Amino acid sequence: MHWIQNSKSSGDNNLEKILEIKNLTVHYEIEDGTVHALNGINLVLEEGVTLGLIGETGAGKTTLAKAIMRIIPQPPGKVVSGEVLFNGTNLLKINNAAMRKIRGEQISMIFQDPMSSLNPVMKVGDQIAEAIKTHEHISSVEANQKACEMIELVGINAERMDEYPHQFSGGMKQRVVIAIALACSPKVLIADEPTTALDVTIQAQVLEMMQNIKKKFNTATILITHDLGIVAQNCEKAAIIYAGEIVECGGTREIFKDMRHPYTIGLMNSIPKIHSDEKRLFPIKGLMPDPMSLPPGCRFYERCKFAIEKCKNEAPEMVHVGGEHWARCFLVKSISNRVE
Amino acid sequence: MCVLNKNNTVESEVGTVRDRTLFQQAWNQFKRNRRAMVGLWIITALIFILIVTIVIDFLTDYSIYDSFVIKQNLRNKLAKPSLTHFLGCDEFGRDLLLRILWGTKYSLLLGFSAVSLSFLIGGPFGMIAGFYGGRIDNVIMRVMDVFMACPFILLAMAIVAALGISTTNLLIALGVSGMASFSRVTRASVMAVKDKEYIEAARAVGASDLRIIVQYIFPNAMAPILVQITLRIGTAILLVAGLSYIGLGIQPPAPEWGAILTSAKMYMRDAWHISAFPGLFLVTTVVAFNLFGDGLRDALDPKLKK
Amino acid sequence: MIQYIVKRFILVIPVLLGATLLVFTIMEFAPGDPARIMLGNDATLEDIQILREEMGLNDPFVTRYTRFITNLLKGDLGMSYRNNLEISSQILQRLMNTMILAGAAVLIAVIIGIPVGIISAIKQYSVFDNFVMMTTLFLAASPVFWLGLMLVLLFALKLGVLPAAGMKSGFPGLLLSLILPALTLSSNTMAIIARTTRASMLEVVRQDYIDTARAKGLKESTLTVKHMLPNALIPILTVIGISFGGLLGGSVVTESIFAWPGVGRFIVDSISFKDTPSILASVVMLSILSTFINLFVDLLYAFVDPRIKSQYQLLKR
Repeated sequence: MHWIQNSKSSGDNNLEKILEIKNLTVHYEIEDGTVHALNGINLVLEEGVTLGLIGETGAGKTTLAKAIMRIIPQPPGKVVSGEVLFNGTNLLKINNAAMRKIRGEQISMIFQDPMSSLNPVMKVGDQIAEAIKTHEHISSVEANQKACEMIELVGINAERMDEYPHQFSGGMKQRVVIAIALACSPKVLIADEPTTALDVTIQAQVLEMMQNIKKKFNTATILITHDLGIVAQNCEKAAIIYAGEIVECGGTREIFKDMRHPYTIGLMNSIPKIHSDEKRLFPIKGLMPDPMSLPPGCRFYERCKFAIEKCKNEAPEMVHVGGEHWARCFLVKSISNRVE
Repeated sequence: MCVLNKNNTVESEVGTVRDRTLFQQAWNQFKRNRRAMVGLWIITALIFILIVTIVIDFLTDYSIYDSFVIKQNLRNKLAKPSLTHFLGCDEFGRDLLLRILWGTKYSLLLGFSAVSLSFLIGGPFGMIAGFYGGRIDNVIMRVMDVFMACPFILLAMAIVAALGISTTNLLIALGVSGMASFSRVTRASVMAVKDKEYIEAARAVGASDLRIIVQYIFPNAMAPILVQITLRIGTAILLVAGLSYIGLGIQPPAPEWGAILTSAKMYMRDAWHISAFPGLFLVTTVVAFNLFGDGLRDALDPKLKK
Repeated sequence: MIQYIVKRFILVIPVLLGATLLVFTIMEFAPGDPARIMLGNDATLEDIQILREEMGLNDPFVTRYTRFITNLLKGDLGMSYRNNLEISSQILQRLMNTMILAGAAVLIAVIIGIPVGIISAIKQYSVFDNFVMMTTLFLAASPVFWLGLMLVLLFALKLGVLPAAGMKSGFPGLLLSLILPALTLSSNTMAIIARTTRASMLEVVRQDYIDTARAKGLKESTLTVKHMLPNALIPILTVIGISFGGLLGGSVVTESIFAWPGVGRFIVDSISFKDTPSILASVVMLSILSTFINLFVDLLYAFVDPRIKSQYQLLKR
């Protein structure tokens, strides 16, 4: 399978840890009950590394992204416990002013739907320049100059600086959003499904552009997606999130060659393979559990074809598979979806 | 297996209860809205008062009306609120509470009739404009624009000035001035529904035109129209009162709430109760209709609320 | 852009003509023979007929209407039945006074309504928000004349701080006598503007681009002013535009309560005197005013919302 061979391997372990998430638990308190969106997330991101965060809708990907940026609306959201360490500092404990300095300058985020991510009544160039002026004390003229450079960097003609978002196509809008996010050369970029809303050809262009910029600025990235192919091509590390928990993580190559968690295996098997002669599709049966009433045992129990009695009542911890590869399952040692 | 149980709801296998009709769904949603229910209660109380006063008049051949609401009793002139006269008396010694209660029918009946008239005139125009579109739509909407160029009250006043002061003319005035905005609402409603995919789907399955109009267009288009009607009643009531206040509507000694307030100004220094109470009744009535209308809107289209 | 403005102006003309035609037609139904009224009850039938011919009262409808329009354009609004004076001179000063009143009312409604709506939206479900929602509910439902009475009761009679009626001139007389009527007239509109602002802000707050802006590290205040407000203003502008017609109409009643010498009061007086030409002229003038204000608001749209602006720039090519 070509795309696995082309996927990145997880570089050396001597890289600085730039973002470390420890035991992050986030709830939403709503009228009908409590939504357990994130349950004890542990994640490590090194400098310059791209981490692919894979998960279905409702798994908690966007909540995690917003929690790192601290832009979860605080009611109804609530960070129950955990730490988000950025260069050693716990982002959850610093004051608002300090967090604002980090947003956009040290850590940036781009959102899923480019059609609605830009302010419709503000010129595109101004929106980029705003990001710059917020963090750098330079004049308007200089900020506009830098904004021009950014917009050219993402492949848009600088003449279009004075146009409004509705005059751009979806792919172009996303480029603008990326320009805004990277304007201050942040150390970390969180990209929440940046290409999901775009069609395939544009997707490839935007991803390629992101790769180039990433190399240039050495930005560490969390690339949130549900597309395994994108992870394989762009990410050195990967983490799979399910029902608010990380169920498998490690180097992309390691995971793809040797999947250990039944959910990851299920995801891989549900992708139709272009080379083989398939008569049926193999989706994972069932649905993700309701985050308002999570089961006591393993969250994947209902849908797991390897499940045993123990899985129903006990929640598994992360088990070391090898190297940086971990998986949250009692049967880690005995299951594998090894690719030869 | 599905079971039809006592209160006309359907229970299916998993134990969830689904309401049988659209009406019941809307009603259940409405019931949960406390404010809307308050509005409904107030309106019900007012209708009750309305019916009681009409019945009493009918049974007593207006004798109670004449002796308590109309006949002057100068001994009690401008009496303050007390145990015998809960809200006090007006400048002719008539019990204010009784006058106000007997005035309910004007506001309610006229408000409702005026809006219905606006709807009956403007609605069809709007529906035709919305349904056929094109030139017909353009022409009708231009005409409506003309009507809307004149401020509502002024148009009504002009009509009353021209035709003379009477209840019928008041009704005509209010009905005609209000029809333009109704035509807009109906038109927008019909247009929104006309092109929806479920209409196409219905046609594709072979539904006849009549069936489509009755089962699909009508229920979906009517919802916003019903909401408009309810909300407009409040405005109409205020307008009736306003016109009566300046002498163009219901004439004294009829106890219409606005008419009562006309003379209230002169006696404000000594008898503020004549100014305060009819106004409070007016405000409460309009608030009730507004709450009811809002609740109706939320119940009929939950999508809007979220 | 200029082309767009001119185009809109041109489009307004048929509407204005239609409106004047409408009011003219309505007043046709008014009873009373102008010639007879002018000559008095002792006049003979002959004299009345001669006068009717002179005044052109026997001409067909279209001729009379055209004459009305041509006179209107020349600034001649006809003669009042009541006192045989030119209506135009009587109306002009009154129009100014009504505009002052309506203008002040809009100003108050906007200055209080919008900030209240914004704060209400930002602090949704707070005590302030609930209070605002309650108050606006009642204000929007209150009859203007009753509110006026209550305000006069409180401020003029009980507290004695503000005049109960009349329009004083000079400073601060004008201002003091303007407060109560303007406040009264503005109440309904203020409530509606506050509610609309709140709803609009709530809508905007949920939008993705606000998250994008927040992720840039902007302060909440900057977010509110530079990102939320400009987007929220668009529906608010609509409401203000629509309200103006209601304000002009509402001035009728308010002017009656406060003895404000404006056009509204003039109309009411004219009606009781059955002075048809005065009624006709006043209603027509107010309608024209209302239409132009609506046009102005529409044009303002194109400035505020770049999406509309570019629509019309595209049309140019």
